Amino acid sequence: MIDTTNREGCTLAIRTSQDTAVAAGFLSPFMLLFGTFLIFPIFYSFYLSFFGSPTDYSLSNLEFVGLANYKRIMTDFQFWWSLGVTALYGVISIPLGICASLALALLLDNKLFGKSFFRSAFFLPNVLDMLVVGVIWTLIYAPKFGALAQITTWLMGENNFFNTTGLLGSPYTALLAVVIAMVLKGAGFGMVLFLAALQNIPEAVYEAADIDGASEWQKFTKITVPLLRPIIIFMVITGVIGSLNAFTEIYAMTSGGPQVVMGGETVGSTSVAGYYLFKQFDSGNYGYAAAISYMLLIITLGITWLQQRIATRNDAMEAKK
Amino acid sequence: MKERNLIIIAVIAYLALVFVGWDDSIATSPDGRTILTFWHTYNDQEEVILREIIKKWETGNPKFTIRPVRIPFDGHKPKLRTALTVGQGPDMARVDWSFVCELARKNAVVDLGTLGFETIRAQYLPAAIGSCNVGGKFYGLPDQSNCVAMFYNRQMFRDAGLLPPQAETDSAAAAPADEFANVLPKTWEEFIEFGKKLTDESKGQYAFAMLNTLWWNLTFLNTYGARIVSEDGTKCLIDSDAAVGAVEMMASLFAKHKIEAGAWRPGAITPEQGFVNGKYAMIMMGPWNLAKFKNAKMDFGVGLIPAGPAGTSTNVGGTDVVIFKGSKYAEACYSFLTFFTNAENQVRWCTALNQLPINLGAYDLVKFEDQHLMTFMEQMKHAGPNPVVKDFGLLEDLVNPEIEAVLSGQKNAKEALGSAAKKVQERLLDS
Amino acid sequence: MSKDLHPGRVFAFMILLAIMITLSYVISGQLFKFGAMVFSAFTTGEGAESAMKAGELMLKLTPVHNGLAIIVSIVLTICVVQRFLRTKNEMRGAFLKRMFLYEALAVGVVVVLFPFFWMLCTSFKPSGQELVISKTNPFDIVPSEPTLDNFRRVLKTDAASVAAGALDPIENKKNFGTYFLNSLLVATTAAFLVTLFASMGAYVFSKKELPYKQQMFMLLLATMMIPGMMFMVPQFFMVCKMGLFGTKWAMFLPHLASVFGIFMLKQFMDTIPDSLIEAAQIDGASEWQVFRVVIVPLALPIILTLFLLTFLFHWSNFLWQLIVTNFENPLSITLPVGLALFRGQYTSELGLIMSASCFSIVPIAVLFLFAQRYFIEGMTQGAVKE
Repeated sequence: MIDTTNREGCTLAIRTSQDTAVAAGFLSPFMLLFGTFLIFPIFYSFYLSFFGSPTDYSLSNLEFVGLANYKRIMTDFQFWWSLGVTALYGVISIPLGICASLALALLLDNKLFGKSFFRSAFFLPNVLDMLVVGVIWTLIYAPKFGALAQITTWLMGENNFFNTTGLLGSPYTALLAVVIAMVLKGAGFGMVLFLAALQNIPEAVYEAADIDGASEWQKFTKITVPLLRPIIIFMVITGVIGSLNAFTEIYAMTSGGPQVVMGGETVGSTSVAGYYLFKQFDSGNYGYAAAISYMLLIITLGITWLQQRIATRNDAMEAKK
Repeated sequence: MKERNLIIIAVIAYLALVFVGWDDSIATSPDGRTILTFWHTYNDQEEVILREIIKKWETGNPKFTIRPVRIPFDGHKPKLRTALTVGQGPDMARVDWSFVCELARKNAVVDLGTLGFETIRAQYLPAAIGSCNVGGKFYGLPDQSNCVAMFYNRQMFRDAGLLPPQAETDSAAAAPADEFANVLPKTWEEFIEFGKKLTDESKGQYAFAMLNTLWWNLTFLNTYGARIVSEDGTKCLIDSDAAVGAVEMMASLFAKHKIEAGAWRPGAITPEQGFVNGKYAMIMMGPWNLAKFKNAKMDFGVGLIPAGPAGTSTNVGGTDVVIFKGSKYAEACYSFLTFFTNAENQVRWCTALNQLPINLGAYDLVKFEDQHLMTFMEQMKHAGPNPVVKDFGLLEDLVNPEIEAVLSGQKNAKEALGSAAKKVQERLLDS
Repeated sequence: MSKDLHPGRVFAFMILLAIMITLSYVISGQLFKFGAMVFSAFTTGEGAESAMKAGELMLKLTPVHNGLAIIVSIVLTICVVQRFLRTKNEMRGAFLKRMFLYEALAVGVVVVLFPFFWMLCTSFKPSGQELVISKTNPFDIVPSEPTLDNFRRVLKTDAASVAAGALDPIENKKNFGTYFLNSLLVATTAAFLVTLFASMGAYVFSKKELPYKQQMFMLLLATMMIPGMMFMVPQFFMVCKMGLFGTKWAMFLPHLASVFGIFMLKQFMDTIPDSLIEAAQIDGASEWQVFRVVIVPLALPIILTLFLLTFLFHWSNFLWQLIVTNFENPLSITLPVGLALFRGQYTSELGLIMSASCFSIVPIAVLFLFAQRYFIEGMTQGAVKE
């Protein structure tokens, strides 16, 4: 029997204080570097969020404004709009990315001629510079001259959407277009993770399930997916963080995207939070930018905490049954 | 085992590399002359001429030596900002025109008036020096300037009957300069007429393609005499009637007359690309693409921007050189920079590099072989001033979306420009 | 032999065969054409006239690469048809499924590798022609007048650079080779150190006991949510205060504590069964031995992935390296910054930028192809037998 529970459930553990010392020893180089180079900047940018924009470059004559930056965020329509766009971006890209990576990993886990070639080929786009990817996909999506427009014209005639406006030209499809480009770029990375984890699942488990008469689908859902859970969780969390920080792809492809008018305000349909933050940062509004990043942090932590509450409540209800 | 050996070899190679290449110290020149650092963003050819001019100045100023340090243009703003934050900036630098105002407002550069700039101000092209004028004081000198003019595809004009067939007109080298200028429409109304003849949607050909960023749109706005900010920089004027007229005309090119290709939409083929592929008959473009279009064997011409109510006009781009407050030798820097941009050196610079002069003294002395550059010089004389604000990027971020909303038909011009003016006034001018 | 001839299956086979022929002809045609193009570019010299000569050479070679493509397609067809006829009727369904799988994967590879191909082709295009789209077939992106000029300019072996280099020998040192070696050093050192510290740390979070371990981990995750650009100025300030401005250390020191790395490794180490560790401990292994002998080999695929990703990050980390580079010492410039020196103010010299990107990617691709044998094959086959 494979023991996959964590250390707490194991009965052979001999916990000693020496054990803790060793653990601390292993962790210390990392923590030392973290403490030196990340703690100070975190506190410093938090500190900055209570000050106004610097009047000169030395950052020493800053005007204390208290919570004014945070109050300004509350009434900043552009910010809340960018949050919505980010949420949409995450909701589309994360499941799509996970499914694509998992599908690729499963396909390439079998005995196949040229397996390593295919695996390398699918991982390679990850290596490309984001700006290059942006340029190429813009050319593919471009109306009239782009690859997509040429194909659809050949299939459906001149007057189709891809030819006249193009995917990036319409506020309703621009975000989807960016997501597809990113998923195709990043699928290889998830594929590698899933492949490595799939290697770790021993044949014996599948054989046992076969003996019990399990179908392919049952084997997949009851054995494979649960054992891949840590990787899936990893991809969800990095996907969320990636959506919050997403900037280069927007910069390269749409610069905030085709504008759309919402309630009298003109907003960009691909203006995600990371891009909005960059614009603030680039204008030198360090205080406001810092306030935005901490606001995003608070919101994300809030969502995560809520998610945990629901998950544990579900588990508790399951356990009661 | 073979892999083991490979890894061992790799490790040894790495260690060897570390031993050889890790050290980063530089040898300093034991000269004794005071070093003035000049961060520039010139390319290889420009740097050769720069060093020539530096040598000339140094012979007349033996106590100093100029150290030119090349930084990438793409990233010079963050580099300068962070260097200034820790007090490690240079003595002088060459920066993008829109950066001067930010540097001035952040109290990082020297007011050249204190060094005697008034005496030589008249030498410089007014359009070029406009970007250095912050609140009435001048904080930099232009070193390079350009503008946009109207490029047109001669083959497409011939096909539409707007140009006599090939036999009667010669190549660019042989035809007289004004032949090019006389081909293009003179006013925006004529432009629309021409446009209708040049557009053939079934073939995917359009008369015109434009980009939608404020800098490009300044061309249109300037031909209507519209200004973005008032002279003293305190009031936003973008919702004036002239501006509304300009934007409405722009929008009509796309929506009503359908002579514009929609190149302003995100993800669309850029005007440059479409021009090279023979899809766009006319585009606005600057002199930096002349060599490229020639290499692509394009048969094109350059003419003046059509005139609006305020005549023909264009925008201004380019770079300026500034002196930083942290420098201990501001007068020496000033002496070098004025030498660098004086008429004689400008003649040398511009003829060698095919660039437009910024020194009026050089204007009559510079004669380019390339006829198109002469057209650009003519166009420059009619350029309008760029808006000088402390953050041009923010100005664009506030105005571009509104204009895009007008172009895509979601808002009318008066409404859009009104809300843009309000935002600019609040976020940029009053804060 | 043809007792149960299922017309449906044969029909499906025909369709799949047709698709396969098209795919193989197009793909091999483009690849051979690319080969012909590279050959033409190599055998002609510099400058615009050479590009035209290369173009003529390519036209002459057209029957060659078309012919080769046809031969490849025919050979493939013959093999596949033979295979099909030889398989027994019951196995034919599986055969067709496999064929479909291969074709789908081939299409996937084409889609995924198309950007690379485009990049390679554009870097051979002479200045001004990068954006020209062929009127007959927009997918035919192999340039018809190829030149090696872009590569020469990047390596500074073209006529203009050699002339400029003769004027100033120090300037001459400021070339691609220097940038490449600097980046190689920085990226390798950074990748190694990051991987080492992250795997040690992840081992603790995954398998060992520590008071407040959970909370600490949550805290680390939270810091991942703050965008990196916020840390740039304070970290730069610290680096300068430490006197490291302009050194290679500065280029990666603040990024050595990679929370992403620790997170990824921990998640993976969670899938390693505890029983193995206990087995080793019963055998009397010390802590470091447990780490080295049990954990690292099992987690090697992920550790190598982290190494590769970190290498990649530092290889192309433009903004931070730009800020910490001391430009007065041109010998300390790394690759992304050096390549940015090519991008002038108004230059959209796509060909030049693409050829520079090609150089940038080659070492990564080589590293990956070398490492992938390790981390995808994995060494876990024997270890988990119970």
